[in-house]
Amino acid sequence: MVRFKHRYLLCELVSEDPRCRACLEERVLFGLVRDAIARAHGAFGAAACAVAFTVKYLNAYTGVVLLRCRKEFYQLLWSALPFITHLENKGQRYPCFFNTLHVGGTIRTCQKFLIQYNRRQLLILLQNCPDGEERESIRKSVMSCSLEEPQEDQLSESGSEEDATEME
Amino acid sequence: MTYRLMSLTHEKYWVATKISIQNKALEIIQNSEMNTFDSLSLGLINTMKHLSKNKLPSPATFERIVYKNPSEYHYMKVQLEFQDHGFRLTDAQFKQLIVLALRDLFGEVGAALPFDVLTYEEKTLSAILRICSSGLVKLWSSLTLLGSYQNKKCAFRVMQVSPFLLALSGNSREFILEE
Repeated sequence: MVRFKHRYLLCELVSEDPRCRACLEERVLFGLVRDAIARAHGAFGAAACAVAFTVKYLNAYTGVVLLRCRKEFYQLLWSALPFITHLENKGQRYPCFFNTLHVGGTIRTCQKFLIQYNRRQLLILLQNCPDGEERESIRKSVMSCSLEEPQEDQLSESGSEEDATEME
Repeated sequence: MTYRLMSLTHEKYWVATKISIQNKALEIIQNSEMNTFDSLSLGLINTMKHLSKNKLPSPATFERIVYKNPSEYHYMKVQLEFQDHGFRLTDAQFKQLIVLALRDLFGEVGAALPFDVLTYEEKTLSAILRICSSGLVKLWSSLTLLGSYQNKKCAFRVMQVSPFLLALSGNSREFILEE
């Protein structure tokens, strides 16, 4: 009726360099996406998407980003994402690209999808992981599926390293 | 005898039956073992259908294609005006100017909009542009918002817009009535 409807784009920042994900910040990403839309869709696109554009969620360990924009212009935003090729921060330039995982109408649907996606990624990581202590620890956490902070940090760091090795 | 039998059936069928199928109906009634009211009428209907099949042609099939907008392209007659009237452009520069205007407002995607400069007059800086109908709004709005070219102020005057090229051949505003 009278609400403003939004679309939430769940994206993953994929890059070879593990440092790239660490220097991911909201402000940096905000400026980056806005510049990309301005280049791809001009003044009209930049204005249309910037009305309700925010970075809702950012995970520096896994590189997962949740962007929000108006429902009428989400396609402008979506089509401008592949044109982001570099992440610049403090004079350091890292090649990267954005992989859109899911488009949802609410944050809750994106969260549900993210939980399922992470579960599947954990299983894939378990397969690719070489035998050893890491494998044991990952297997334990997959079986238990509990969210204890020290384990999670270990897991996500080892996960990000695994991602980096996979890229290479 | 047949008329009496036919009158037994529903009135509708009796009205439709013809004298020519009388013999056929007799045969069916004699050959079949049906005695009930419904089966008789069914038998008569079947004979009628069978006989009428050969006479009536199959219904004709046709296709009707409706276009909401019969023309895929829109044609615009435009004139470029500079603040200093002595400035001239070649046709390539003219097209480049329009692409620049599109890029300013609609970015790379807009600059890739395929349009054609059909005619160009260098003296008056007027041209006829062709654009596909879905891109008309983008082109017109970017022409409107173009303010300057190489630091010279300029403006686009749109004289005529039409989905048909023939309509651009005459303009009632430019009629000169002979007196």
